[in-house]
Amino acid sequence: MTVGKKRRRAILGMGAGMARSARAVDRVFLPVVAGAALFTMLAAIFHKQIQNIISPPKPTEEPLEPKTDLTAYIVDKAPTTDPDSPIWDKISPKRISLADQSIIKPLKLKVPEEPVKVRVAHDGEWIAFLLEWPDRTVDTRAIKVTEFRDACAVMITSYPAPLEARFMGTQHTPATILHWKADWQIDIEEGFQDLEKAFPNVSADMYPLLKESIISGKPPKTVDIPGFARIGLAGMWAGNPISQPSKDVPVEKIIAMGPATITTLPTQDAVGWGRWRDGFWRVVLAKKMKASDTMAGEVELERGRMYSTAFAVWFGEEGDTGARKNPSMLHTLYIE
Amino acid sequence: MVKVYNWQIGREMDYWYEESRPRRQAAAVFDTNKCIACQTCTVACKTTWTSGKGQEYMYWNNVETKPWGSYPMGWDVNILKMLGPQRWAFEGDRYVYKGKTIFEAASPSERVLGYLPNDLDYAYPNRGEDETNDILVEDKFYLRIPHDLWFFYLPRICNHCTYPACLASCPRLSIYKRKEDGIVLVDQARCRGYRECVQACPYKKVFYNHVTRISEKCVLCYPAVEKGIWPRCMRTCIGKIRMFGYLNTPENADPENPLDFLVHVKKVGLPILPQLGLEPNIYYIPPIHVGNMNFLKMLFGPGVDQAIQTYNKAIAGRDIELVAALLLNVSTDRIMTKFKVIGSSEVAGYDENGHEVVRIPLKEPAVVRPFYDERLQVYRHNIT
Repeated sequence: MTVGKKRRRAILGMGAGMARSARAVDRVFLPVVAGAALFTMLAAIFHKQIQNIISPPKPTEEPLEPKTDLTAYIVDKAPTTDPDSPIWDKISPKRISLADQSIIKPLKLKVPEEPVKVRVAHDGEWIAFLLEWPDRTVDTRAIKVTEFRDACAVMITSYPAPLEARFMGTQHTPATILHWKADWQIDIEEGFQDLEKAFPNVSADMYPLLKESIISGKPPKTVDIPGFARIGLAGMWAGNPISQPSKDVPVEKIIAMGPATITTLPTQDAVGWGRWRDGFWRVVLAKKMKASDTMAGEVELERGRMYSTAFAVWFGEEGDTGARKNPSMLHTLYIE
Repeated sequence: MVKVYNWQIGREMDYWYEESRPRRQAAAVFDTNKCIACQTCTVACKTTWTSGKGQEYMYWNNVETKPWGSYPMGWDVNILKMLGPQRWAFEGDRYVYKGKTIFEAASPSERVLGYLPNDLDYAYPNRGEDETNDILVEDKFYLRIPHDLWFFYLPRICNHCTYPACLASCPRLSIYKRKEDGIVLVDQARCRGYRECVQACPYKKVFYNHVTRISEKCVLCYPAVEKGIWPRCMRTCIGKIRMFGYLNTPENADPENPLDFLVHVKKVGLPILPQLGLEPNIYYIPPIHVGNMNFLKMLFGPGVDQAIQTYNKAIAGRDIELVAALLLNVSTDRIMTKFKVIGSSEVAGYDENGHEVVRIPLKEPAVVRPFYDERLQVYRHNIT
């Protein structure tokens, strides 16, 4: 019995010793195993990534269908100048988020809370975009130094386009831009917004070359200034489209090949119209699908094809002008 | 931003574009001690360039009374307040500006530190005219030098800066500096009226046309300058305060060039608000009777003391060459690139072809007529 006890104790003691040894081994071995497993897993991931970089996977034979963000629906007659046309009610709007402008200084870092709603229709000859966005104030004047207009723009370029084409195209991807200006529309609707609109009590005693035109101390209307005297209006004299008092349409058709390159196209055949109601602007911008200025790079639009498009909004009350704007990302546009 | 060297602040600074100096830089020196605020320059410019509709409020050339006058209102104090501390230190052989320029102080979202004046700021071009620095009280009317009570006139045009803020701010690239003469222009066909330049120019010398809805600025009468003739505001100056020509950089200064002589050799011509960092090219001889030197140093930089000493020496007759150079002010409408004192009684100016375009006496001859004219049998009074 005694022997048996001793033996048992010995066995138990040995077992306890083995257990102690095993615990010691565990403390070293298990972290090593776990670490090795983690290392292997990470190495496998990195290996795959490196492999993808060195030899990227080849595209499948049949490219994936591009995702259509916007569709230009076929209609009998595109409502090119009517933002309230019932045709628009038949098209469900696409909500396009507006971003900050954080690429080209000066930046605009404030982002609108609400997206712009976009509808697109075409009739085979004209393509029309309806942009709708909330704006608390109507800013339709740019006469005083601190007055800035509300405005919006549609940019169309080829598909696929590089990501940087979002900022008014690139050197190899020219962008056609339709730019609607609220003050231009009022110039058409109510007549050129002259000096007197911002400064009602303005008086004049003499403008060289225009002595006879000053009646009762009031300056002559700008639209009435004869050609020879327009030399005193340098921008107008130089043919700057911004400076012309007589306007036919509130939409300017522009070509651009990147920031700071926008150029008014020779053929100004884009049309459009805007209406502000209950805190919302609804603006139609339209162009002919067949390009008038192909030599200058204007985009030609064809049915059944995909294009790249982007949108931008300027809020006059926030001092938006030029680069101070809220642009969207680049989207795809399919023409039905 | 890239690093460029601005000799007026004695150091490199950040600028939007790389250093690209013109082949020669049109520049001018205005002697504030001689300006009488007659506004002839203002009117000459107004009738030549800004008499069109939409330009009614514009003065490409204006004359304001310092310290209180300003057009547009508060243009100088506003930008200086925005800029923060402006400290200079003398290092080696020059003053170095230790504060920030308007390019360095711009917020991360802007190209240039600036602000847009409103239409009321432009409504009082003569505000502060002839107002002294302090309230007039009887016991202050004694003649003391420098004056306890003072003011001076400051004629201002576009500075056609070496590092123009208007040019840097334009995202449209509508503003350019001509390589041939350094004149800064707004392309009237290209500008789209963003007004970034109006906001950026700290001197507020770019204007928005109410009718054409684009920006305009002083053109330094480039059609005349191209023909070797002074700009209108300069050549009509009846106070003869102005010297127009071409200015070299300090290391290339030519002592025979009247502009280089006044700015680099004698250092009496000082830039206006050099701490802003634009390297402006209209220079000012500071007023010698202003009591507040800190005000002058704020306006013209740390070289004011030396400029005033040098100028005083000249008017005391102890620097004939400087007197000669100053006498050439508005003595001709031809651009001079050289001048020379002839003997000790005359000074001559030469155009870029070496032709003498003007010669004037250092001292106007005085003729004293007899009180009784025998020939005409009349009594005469010398009235001048």
